[in-house]
Amino acid sequence: MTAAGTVRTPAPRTMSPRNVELGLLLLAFVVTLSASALTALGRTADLPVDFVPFLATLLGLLVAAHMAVRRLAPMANPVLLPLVAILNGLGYVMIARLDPDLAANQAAWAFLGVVGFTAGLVVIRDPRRLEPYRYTLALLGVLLLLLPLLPRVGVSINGARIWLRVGGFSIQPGEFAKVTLAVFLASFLVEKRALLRASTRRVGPVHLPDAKHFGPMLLALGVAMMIMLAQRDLGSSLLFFTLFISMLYMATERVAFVAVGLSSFAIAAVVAWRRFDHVQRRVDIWIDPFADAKNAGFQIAEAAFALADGSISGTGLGLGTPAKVPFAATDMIFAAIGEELGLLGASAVLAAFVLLCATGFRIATNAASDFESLLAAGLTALLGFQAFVIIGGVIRVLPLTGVTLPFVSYGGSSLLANYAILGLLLRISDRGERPA
Amino acid sequence: MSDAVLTLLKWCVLLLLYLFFFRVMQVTWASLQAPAKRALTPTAAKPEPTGRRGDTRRTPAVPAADHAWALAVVEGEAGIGSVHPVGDELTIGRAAGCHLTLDDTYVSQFHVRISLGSDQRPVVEDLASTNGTYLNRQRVTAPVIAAVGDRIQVGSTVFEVR
Repeated sequence: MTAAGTVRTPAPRTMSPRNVELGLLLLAFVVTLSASALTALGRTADLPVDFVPFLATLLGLLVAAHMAVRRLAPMANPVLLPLVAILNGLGYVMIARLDPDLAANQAAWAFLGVVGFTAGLVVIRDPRRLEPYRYTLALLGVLLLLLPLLPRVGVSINGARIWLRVGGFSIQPGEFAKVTLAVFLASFLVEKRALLRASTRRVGPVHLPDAKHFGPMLLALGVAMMIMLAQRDLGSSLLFFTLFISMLYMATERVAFVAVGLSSFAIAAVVAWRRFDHVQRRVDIWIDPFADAKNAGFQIAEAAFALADGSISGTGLGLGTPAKVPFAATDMIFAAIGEELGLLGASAVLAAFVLLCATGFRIATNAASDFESLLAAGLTALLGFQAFVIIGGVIRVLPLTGVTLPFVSYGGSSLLANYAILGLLLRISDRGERPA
Repeated sequence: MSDAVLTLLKWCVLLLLYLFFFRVMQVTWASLQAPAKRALTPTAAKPEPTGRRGDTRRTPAVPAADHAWALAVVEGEAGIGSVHPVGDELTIGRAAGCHLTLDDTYVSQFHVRISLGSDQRPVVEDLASTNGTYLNRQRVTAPVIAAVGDRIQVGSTVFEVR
């Protein structure tokens, strides 16, 4: 890798992005398989019977995803897919260790995710062709959010009515709504950014543009937030609100919007805290989980114990007791990783998200059009905030709100939606790197 | 399996994990650094203490008025040795609409314009490119006048003014 002597041709540049990606994917494969093998050795001192089929499946998925990118988006950024592979791989190892049945499902969902992501790359050659469908997509997003409220198919699990039960499957349509709403916001904001940037109103010290230009966007935001709050899905509503504020800021470069957004959020948070029992309870647990560590604070307290057990390098894969934490495979997977891989493993997961976001924003700055730029930035912000909200919840930086850790947590809808985001980012990256 | 072996293996997995991130960082860093490295590549040992250019001190040898200005590619991925006449105006960028299209990630769609000023000398004007245009290794922030022998860097391509 040294570029000594001839500074003109540093090695990574002369290597095609796809070969770099293949190398990183193989490294991710080795990490996943050694983690998986070590988990089995730690638990049973023997490799499981299905170890070879597992390796074949994993390798097959990685190679399939890589070939899809090689064929369909050859210029795309080389680190995005390997980062997703390592997150998904580590998550899978942890899920398999916690519950083998869930792991089989997760593998099936990952397969569907790769299929969906390949199909997305085939169908969406130019993301700008999504632009004319912006209101359709906004409506679709709202409908997806509303689906769980339907009688019979919609079900309430763990206090949040955000699930659809079709056949034997539970689907969380809200995960897909986030993506369609991000596309809507990107296309709307790109068209209206000049109008939104202009200040015509003055409220105290801040200048604001005319409210009429916000119409459709505020309507979509308001409806989406109302639905999510009615479903008691605090995590998703928080996520969608931050997505909205950050995209508005990125489109207009006006700090005033962030100020207004944050202050209205603060007011709403205080009101919600005073008015709603379930919000108040969560805040109480957040402030002192040990006050009622056997009941209300059990999950957070166990997560804290798990992380403490993990110490610097972890108890070792398969050697801890992460299953003690309720929802260890979904919301609390970060605690499970922290217990068995320690601070070092947990930091690696954080590093993966930091690098994922940095790469996403770089794709946004190199994008071929304003719409793609804003869309890439919005989708990246969505992934980043989601990781922040749930990791923050687990380590008690924020009150815990149940969202998945992207690509890591168990959850089919979440995995599919996040693979769709990956596909869009790779497509935007590919177009941005191509000569016009 | 003994605890010691498992602990050793645990560290191996963590090491592998960080090896992965090290490689990712390396790739990311290389892609970020590539244009900057090129900008620092000494192409000609030319001391250029001030940014103020275009004065007569380096141009008297060439009569400005009827000199046929051109840019020759002296460094780059492709087309070394090719000469591009400036004419009245020469735009360089990644877009097909430019006079000279460069297939280079580090070149913006419309990167730089070289046009003849009122005194028939070429003016280099960066078109708000992402990675900048460098005239003799100094970033072009405002339109500057170039002289024969000057080096203009656009992405990974270096031109010599002739």
